[in-house]
Amino acid sequence: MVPAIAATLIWAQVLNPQTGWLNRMIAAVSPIEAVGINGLRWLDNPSLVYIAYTFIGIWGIGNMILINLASLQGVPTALYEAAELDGAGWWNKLWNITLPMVSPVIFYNLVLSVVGLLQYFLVPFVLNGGSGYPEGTTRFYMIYFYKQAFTFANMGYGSTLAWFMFIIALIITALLFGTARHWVYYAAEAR
Amino acid sequence: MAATSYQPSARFLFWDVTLQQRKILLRGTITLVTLLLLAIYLMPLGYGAVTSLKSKQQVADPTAPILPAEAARYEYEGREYDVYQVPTEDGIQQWALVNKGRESSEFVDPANPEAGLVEWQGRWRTLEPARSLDFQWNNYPRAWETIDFLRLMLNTLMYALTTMVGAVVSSAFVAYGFARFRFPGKGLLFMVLMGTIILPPAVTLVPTYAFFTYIGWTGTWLPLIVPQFFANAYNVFLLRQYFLTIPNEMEEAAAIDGAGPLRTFISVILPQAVPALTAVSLFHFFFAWNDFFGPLIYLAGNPDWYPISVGLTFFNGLYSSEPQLILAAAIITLLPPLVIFFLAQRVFMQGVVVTGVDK
Repeated sequence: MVPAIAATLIWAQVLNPQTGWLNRMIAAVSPIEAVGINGLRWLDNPSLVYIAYTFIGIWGIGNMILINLASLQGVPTALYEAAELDGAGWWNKLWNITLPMVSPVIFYNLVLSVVGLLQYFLVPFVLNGGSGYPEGTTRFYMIYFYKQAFTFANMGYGSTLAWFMFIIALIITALLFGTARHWVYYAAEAR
Repeated sequence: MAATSYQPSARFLFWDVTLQQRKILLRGTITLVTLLLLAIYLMPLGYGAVTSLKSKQQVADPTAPILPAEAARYEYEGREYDVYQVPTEDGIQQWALVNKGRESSEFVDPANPEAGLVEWQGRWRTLEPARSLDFQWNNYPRAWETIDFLRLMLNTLMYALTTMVGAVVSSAFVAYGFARFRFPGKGLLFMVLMGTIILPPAVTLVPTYAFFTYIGWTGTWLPLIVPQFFANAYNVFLLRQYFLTIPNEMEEAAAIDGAGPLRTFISVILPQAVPALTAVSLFHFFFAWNDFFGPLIYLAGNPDWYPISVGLTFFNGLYSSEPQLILAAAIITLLPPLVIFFLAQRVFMQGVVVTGVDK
């Protein structure tokens, strides 16, 4: 629920190599010299920057947790009782009841986050204004598209880029829907 | 166990206790792990809150303590001196360092300045400076004024509230149509509408941008607000799912009483769909509060109209040397949605549960 801008700005400071808590915590619990000149420069080191972006991304999964929680609450308890009578342990219950029952929601989340991540823009834009720093590792597709279409007013090229992304999104979602037949369970179809 | 096996009652008791203990142990471990995860998860928030109360020097100092604190100073005979934690025979004392020496230094005890200078053997450089808690509450008013938060807030609120009303009302109408009426091409139309969920907004961005430039709307809020009054696929889907669960009988009763479709919709359907409508409204409010790309593009060059998201980004660029102000601004920004979420949490979750899925 925390706005992504605020979260990104806070993380930018947490990841600060000198004063950020992350490095100070790492330095406190492990022998790694995280703080200092040779410390872990999360946002400046091309090989660490993706890990840093992953932290920020994982921090923003609250919405999805909420949706999953709702779907978990929607699993009828009668199913568990029936399974217990049949002698199912917790693993059996998880694998044969919980996962199939919530799989449509997992699938929904998967499709939406893949389509959303293709348009990954906000975090790199807030952190470095879309410059691709360091060494172009954060020049994501949408950043490039935004620069071309709206900074350089190159609308024709921008349109091509956008259509290309659409085709890629279409292929990926089609593949996902293809796999869905094997693992997503729809109660309505079984009837 | 062998000893107790011929005493059924005793064995029962024995098992009972260990099972309970095991359960308690398991619960305790799970709770502990969860708390640990929670602490890690909340760490950045805590960092943001704490750092937003620090002074600029404290933020930049890697050896500074975790809580906002200032190095304590003491004025002695007209001059200010740093206070250090000095180990003495009576335990650690907070003394002000007056005359620095290599192997011994002269201190004065702020609690007892009449005693004059005290000689202390040892290297003063090894001493820890004494600090006292010092919350820089004025970071918040400073951040508030520096970026004209009031205007950003009002812009954002205006945008969030108008589009919330527009999106929910229009989506409810469309959803009602899909849920209750039969018309040719309904299935195909619904598929097309749902297809727009998967369609990346970037694809339609260039043509819509060109269109809005053509009719002269760029640089205003209109391209952001007006489209929201024409429903969107997420809301339609959610509301339609919910409308489908409402039994038909009441509508039939209303029809017998002579109510037309519009009347039925307003007096019968909507009052029953309050949880779903609340959930959709809140989702939209959060979406609008965080919306970044749309305002960034359509309001480019019009700072007076920026919402918080865009304003904060530019503030971040301008004041990168004052992290405490940026963090204070970030905390102010995340408070309204957080407060609304906690207040509306129950209705909200209920809405999410009944509608099945959300944005």
